Amino acid sequence: MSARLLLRLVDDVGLLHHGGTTMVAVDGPDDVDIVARWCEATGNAVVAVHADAVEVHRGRIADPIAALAPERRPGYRLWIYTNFHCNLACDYCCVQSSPGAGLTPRRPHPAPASPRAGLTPQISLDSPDAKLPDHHRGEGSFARARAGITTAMELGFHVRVAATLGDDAGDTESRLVDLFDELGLEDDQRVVRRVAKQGSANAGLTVSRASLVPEVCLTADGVFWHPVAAIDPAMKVTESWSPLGDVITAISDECRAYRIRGDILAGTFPCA
Amino acid sequence: MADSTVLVGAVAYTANVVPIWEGIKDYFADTGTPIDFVLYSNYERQVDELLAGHIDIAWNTNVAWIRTLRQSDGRARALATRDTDQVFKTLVIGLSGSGMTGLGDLKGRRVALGSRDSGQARILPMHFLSRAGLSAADMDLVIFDSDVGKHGDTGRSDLDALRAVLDDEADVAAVGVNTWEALTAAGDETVSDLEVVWESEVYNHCNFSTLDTLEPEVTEAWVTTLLAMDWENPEHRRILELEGLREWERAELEGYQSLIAAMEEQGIADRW
Repeated sequence: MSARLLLRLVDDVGLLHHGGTTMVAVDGPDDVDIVARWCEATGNAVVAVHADAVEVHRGRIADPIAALAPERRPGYRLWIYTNFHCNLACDYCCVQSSPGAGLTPRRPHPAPASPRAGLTPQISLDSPDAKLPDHHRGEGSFARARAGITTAMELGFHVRVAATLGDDAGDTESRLVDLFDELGLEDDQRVVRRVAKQGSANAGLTVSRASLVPEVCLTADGVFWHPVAAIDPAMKVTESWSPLGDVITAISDECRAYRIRGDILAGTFPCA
Repeated sequence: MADSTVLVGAVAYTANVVPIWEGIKDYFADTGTPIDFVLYSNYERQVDELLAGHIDIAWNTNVAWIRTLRQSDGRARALATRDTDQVFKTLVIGLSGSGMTGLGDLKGRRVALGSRDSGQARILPMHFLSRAGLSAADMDLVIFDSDVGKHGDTGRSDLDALRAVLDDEADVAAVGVNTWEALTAAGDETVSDLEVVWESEVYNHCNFSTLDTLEPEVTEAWVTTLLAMDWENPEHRRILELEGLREWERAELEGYQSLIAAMEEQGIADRW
């Protein structure tokens, strides 16, 4: 008796304004299939399938992934972490300490023969002066990091410098801008972000798969939604990297669903 | 506002009339015939306003067009229609396996009809039944006189009539082909519990109506621009889907003859 289902669909969706949604009661997968086919044929869209209802959106939904700048779309950038270990336990860092991690007092310079195109060394520098880094990472660490940036640039690498700031950063960001200018960094070589409550961080932004645009991150433990949360079980997408194309597609689909849901909720709760 | 702005009237039969006409207004904005629009709550008011010269063009139902024609002493012009308006039909729908195959089988049956101002669900069905030799007294008429003033645009009375068939309150329902196509959009097999008992000859439905006071060069430029809306253009398509067409066409008047005859024989007044 799908005529009753289709009558409800035509009736309920017909009353919606463009962009509105309605829940259409269904009884089993055959009904869900009919609703999906009907939506496709009539220029509407299925937002979500629940146990006993399908949420239908009036009109087509623009692809939120396509609306992202190309360099922000899942899969454009791939993070590969050989390990996620650190001997430190900075209270603002998304990494956790590992007792097994070795301490290397002097790291070699990047090999002059390393490829430059498509490879961006990203270097953390969370302060415009030595006080905080040297406190967290040991005497002289700020000077060594700064020297490393200069060396990498001299070797022809397109480096990116990333700073993570807490709520108590004060004027740190404006002083970082001065330092970045001094180092000769272009806009695309600077990243300043807030502390995320991940890893060793004892405070900061709460992040989730719904709130973060994914940046696919591969580690020895599997595929994670984003490098800022590459040891958070809730952000782990799958154990296996392979096939990577399918993993990226699955992450894109999940991200698309979150963003559509967010747009609908935003449209559902107007305050004026 | 530019003096050359063409003022178009439309009836607000659904919330989507606003995005439809905002979209059409945007589409015409950079042309030689920009438009603005006025929304009315019923077609009778719109026809009065067109005849009074308060609007330049009215997006009329077939019933509103004939009322315009009757009251304008031959000054009315039909400019353009949807492709779907030129192949409109009335269908008589019954339960699958009813054994009914034509209007002759409706004698003594319960026949569900729509609003008294709906060309497709009331006026023309009564006309076709009359031509088949059936008067109102030969049937048990089940009337759904809803949304009067909207000329059946909301589809409400069509859906109510079909529901009456499913609820065994009527044996058949007379509905517009657009309602049946909306129900069967995912395939005829999805509505296997209902079947088409009879379908009428094609007739015309809506058109853009104007009077001979609007300069021919303005109407020609306006129609040419309208006809250039393109289904393959996503922004145009959004509007076309909401309004229920794939392309606009120039109006043909032959398809209004059956409704002219029906309104005359039923003594339907020029206004309620």
